[in-house]
Amino acid sequence: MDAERELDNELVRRAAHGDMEAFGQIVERHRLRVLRTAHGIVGSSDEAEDVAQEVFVKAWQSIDTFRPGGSLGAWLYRITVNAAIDATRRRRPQVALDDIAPPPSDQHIERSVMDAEEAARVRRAVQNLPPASRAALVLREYEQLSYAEIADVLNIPMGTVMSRLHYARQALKQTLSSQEDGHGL
Amino acid sequence: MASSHLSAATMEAYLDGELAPDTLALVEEHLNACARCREAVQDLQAVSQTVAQTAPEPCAFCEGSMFWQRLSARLSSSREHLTVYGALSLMPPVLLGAIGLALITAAGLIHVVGGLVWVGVIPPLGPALYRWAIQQAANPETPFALRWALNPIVTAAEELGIMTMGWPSNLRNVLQIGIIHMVLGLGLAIVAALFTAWAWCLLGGLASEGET
Repeated sequence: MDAERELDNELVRRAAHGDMEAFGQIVERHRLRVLRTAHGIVGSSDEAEDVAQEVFVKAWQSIDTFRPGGSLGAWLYRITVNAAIDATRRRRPQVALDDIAPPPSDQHIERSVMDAEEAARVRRAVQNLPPASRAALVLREYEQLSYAEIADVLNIPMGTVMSRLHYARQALKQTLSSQEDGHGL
Repeated sequence: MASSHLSAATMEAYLDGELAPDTLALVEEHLNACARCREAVQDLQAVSQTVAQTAPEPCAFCEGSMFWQRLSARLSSSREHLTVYGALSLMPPVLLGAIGLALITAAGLIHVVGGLVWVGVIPPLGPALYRWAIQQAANPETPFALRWALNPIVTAAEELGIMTMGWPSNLRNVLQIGIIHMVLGLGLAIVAALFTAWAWCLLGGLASEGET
């Protein structure tokens, strides 16, 4: 963990001096996390990619403001959450439709246990959560961040993280169970 | 703990692995004994697992090279903003900037010299210049164009009383004018420093663009 952070800090130092190759390594190391988080908040692959591009452009432009010794991952998560929430606000109330039927992957067979229709229903339910609760839920369930890490990324107290997660889970539970009743499942 | 039920916050902290070891042991003990809490925890766990299963698969973003290709083009175009940012990006092109810098530096020097004259560090320049101008205007060997230019200047200097100007006698007046000169000189020095910073940033940006 410390070695990872040291490597990140070294790459940041080089990137701050205009080394684009070092920045390319930063992008490669954090791209998937940024994309996954953005996808969780905006709900579509295309839009998530646009948000991720925006995140890395912002990171490149302000890399010299990154505090040495801090967590680059948390810093990028923070930019991602803000950029993704901004993106959802810009295009409301559109609902993402491109992930309704994602192709099954051989690498993640266990995920195909949940059928595409059900997955789409869950994603829609997540998308209907308020942005603040959605961001906390995505960081917890997709990224497996601890409460303290989520608090750091969202710049909120731990108690607020817990209440946002609680709200999100209760709302999801209610939405999904009412949909199941409606579908007769 | 077995007598009362677990709070929702405790259940979620339990599922999220956020409980301290001693609390965890108590919660596990309670869950073994309480079917209602066990069921509530299982419900919560089902929601968490359902959401986690909808996380986008890594291969949804496998085109890393395309991502970088698109991104690097945007990074190159934002390079100028990295080196010349904020108000500095509004500065003029190099040639105009150089002319502006020279004029501002000259104006600053004039103010500094003026200030030093008024506080008495440098002797007044007016009488010396007047004597030189009178000599040149009266000298038949002086080029005609110079004499033609000096005559009205000498006349104007006599009318304004510059030739009689000696060391200032009113101390308050001296300080006021000296301070005004110094403040103007300082302001111009700040503008000159901004111009220099702008030129440094711009040239640094051009040099690094040349390297890439």
